[in-house]
Amino acid sequence: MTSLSAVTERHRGLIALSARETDRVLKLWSQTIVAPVLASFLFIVVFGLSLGGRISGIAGVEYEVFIVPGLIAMAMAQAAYGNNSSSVFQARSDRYINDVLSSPMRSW
Amino acid sequence: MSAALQIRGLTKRYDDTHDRLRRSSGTGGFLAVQDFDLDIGDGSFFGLLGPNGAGKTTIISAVCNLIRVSAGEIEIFGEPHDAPAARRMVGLAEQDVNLDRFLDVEETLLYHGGYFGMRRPEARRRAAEMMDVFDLRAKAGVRAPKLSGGMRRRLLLARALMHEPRLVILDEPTAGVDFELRLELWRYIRRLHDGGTSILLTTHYLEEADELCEEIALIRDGRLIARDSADGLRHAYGADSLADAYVRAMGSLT
Repeated sequence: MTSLSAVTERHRGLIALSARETDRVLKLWSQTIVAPVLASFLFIVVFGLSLGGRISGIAGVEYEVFIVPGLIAMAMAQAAYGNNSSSVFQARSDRYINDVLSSPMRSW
Repeated sequence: MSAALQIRGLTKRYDDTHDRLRRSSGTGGFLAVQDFDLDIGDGSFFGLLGPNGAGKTTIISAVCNLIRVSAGEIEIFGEPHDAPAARRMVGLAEQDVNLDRFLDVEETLLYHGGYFGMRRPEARRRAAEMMDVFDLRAKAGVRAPKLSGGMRRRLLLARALMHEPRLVILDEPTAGVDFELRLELWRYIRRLHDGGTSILLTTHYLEEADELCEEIALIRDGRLIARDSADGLRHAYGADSLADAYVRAMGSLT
């Protein structure tokens, strides 16, 4: 087997693993998509809109403009971390991670 | 022709101690396998027998790169066991039913094919073939946790064979299945072997090893005690049955 086809083969593994993770996120949409969006929305309502009226601004920037992007980014980071860590945890707990570990994919 | 599997000086010590001094001196932890050698010929049907904790699953895990070995070398058809080429040639059906709970039958097979570098059309063709062979076609869209115990076992075997491995490792494939399914699995496994695939089987059912295996190794406490055909073991231990030979071989060490 040439090195080029070996690289292509490894990429197929990476693509399959990424597709499996995407598949899992979409199948568990109520936990992986709706919950973080709802949590983010509540944070924005409480810390953005409710408190916004009492704070004039921060370093010349309107409070809402300052806080809302930060809350959205925080929700995205938390969801990304939570989804990936729970996926790996479940795979290790149920031991189906062995299917990936025994494959020709590299560990990095 | 190179052996399907060649193990030289395999040692595995599980570090279950936090004592850094003992661990660094190599005396801490649990020694599961010690200086273990094994050769399995290409196309052979080989059985590995031993009591619980003998080291069977540790050996298999080492071959399949699921654990790091403490010492020793493993080659699969002449390739180091951790090389991609060697990994592609091994199919593993583990003792536990470790199926991805989020995937249905067809997805389980397709993603496995992807992990092992199969092209999508090729994986689709092979998945369809596996579902037909293992009578899983009607359950193609059913997730693994909703399958019956027998179907999960069949899916486990189908997944191990999905990428057409030359060496198939079956770790207690018939544990906890009823008699009918056991016979059915025996038929699948025999057909596989007849097609030229090398098979390494571990089992606690001695009649299964007697029925299927051309050669059997008895291991205990991570060491090889005896290796021969079922008839050879019976003769060596002066026993009428493989079960008697097994009991005598294990008893000879106590």
